[in-house]
Amino acid sequence: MTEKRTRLVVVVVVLGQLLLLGAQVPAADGGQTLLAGAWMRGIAPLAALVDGAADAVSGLAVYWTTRRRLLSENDRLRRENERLRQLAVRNLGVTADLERLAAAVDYGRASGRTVRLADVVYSDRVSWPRTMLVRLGAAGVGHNDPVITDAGLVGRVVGVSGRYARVQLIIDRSASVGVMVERTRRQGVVRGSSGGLALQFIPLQADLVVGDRVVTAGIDGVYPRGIAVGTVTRAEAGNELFYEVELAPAVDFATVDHVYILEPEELPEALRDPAAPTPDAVR
Amino acid sequence: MKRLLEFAGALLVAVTLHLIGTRLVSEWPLILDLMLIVVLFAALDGNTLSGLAAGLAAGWATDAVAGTPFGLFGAIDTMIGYGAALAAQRVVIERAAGAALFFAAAALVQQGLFLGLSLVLLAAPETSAYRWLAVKVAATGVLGAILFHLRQRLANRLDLWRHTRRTKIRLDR
Repeated sequence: MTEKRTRLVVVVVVLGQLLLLGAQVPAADGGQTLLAGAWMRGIAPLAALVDGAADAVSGLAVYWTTRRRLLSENDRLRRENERLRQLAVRNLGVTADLERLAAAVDYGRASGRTVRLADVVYSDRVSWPRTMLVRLGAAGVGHNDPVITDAGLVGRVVGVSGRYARVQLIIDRSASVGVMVERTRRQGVVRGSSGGLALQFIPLQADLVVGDRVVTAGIDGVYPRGIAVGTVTRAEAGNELFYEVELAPAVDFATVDHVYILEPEELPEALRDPAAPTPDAVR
Repeated sequence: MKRLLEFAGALLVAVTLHLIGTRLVSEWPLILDLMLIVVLFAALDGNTLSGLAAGLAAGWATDAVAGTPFGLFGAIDTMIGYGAALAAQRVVIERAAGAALFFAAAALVQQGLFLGLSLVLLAAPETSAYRWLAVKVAATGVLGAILFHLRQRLANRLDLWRHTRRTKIRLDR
């Protein structure tokens, strides 16, 4: 091929990809293009293989070095399991009481969502974009599904390809979450920042102190209410109107090896926006 | 075909090492881009077509791993692969120091293009990664020079082995 033709190929390939980029940013429904999905399907099993091999090696090392500790811990966990079972039996009665009381005052509680377990096979929490790749146990996860751990909020699903999903972490610069300060119920928005998390739109007259817990407010249409997001570590007067607030994330992203994906809650038919895509359409 | 298989194998190794590296050191993606090194080795012989094709494939692999908008690194590494091949046509690299400069310059240009496209595409581009720019450029240069040196030594050994083998056959006759 002559140099002139090669130059033409470069121009076509680069322009083609810039057009491809333009089509994706911002993506209409956040779904992936076929090409992106195919590459993710190709790379993700390799990530899972590396993750599995690393787990096996570290697991073997841990087994031999900590066998005695594991045995005593197992014993302790058995006892704790027994205690928790007794607690669960007692709580059954409390739940039944709550349901009866809720029915008496006609209070409709938020329905329980289906929770799916997923293994983290790759996590990049330092460069842009801050995402993780997870392997799903079963299909059925969709775009925007909230992702949590037992410690708090991790992020949301931004792409699904086969049995793998890409999760945008809440510490990513382009991520934002509708939140409230647990103690005062004051609402704001948490965004990812280079330092971790920043809480925005808390007015200066609001009651806010270092150590306040921040949880999801359930007002953004993505995350349900009450999931821990972080704790206030710094709150200073910013511009004339709002605080400048830094949060320590509730989740230690360095230690997350599995996550739970929540199924989205469907809005009642009467409240749905006819123009908005249904969860099934983007699934 | 042999070159294609070599490239595919090298890219696979680079992606695997990237995944292992990220698992061991969380800052790995900020320190080193192994896929870029594979592109630069593919472009070293001065063939612009193989340079751009290598850049395209490695860029797509980077996009798939990093989760960047698909085609971002595809476009950047295509330009890097083509540009590196053009540069290799004009510059003769024989020493490790020259290779280090070549690899480091490519890493710098790649990060510059990445910053430029991020500023165009994103409302609030992530700038914290640029604190690591010097580390990434230096690491790419050093690793590129080491691999270049090893490749040259391996090629020399192979040549010597082939030559010795031929000589022995002739003597046996």
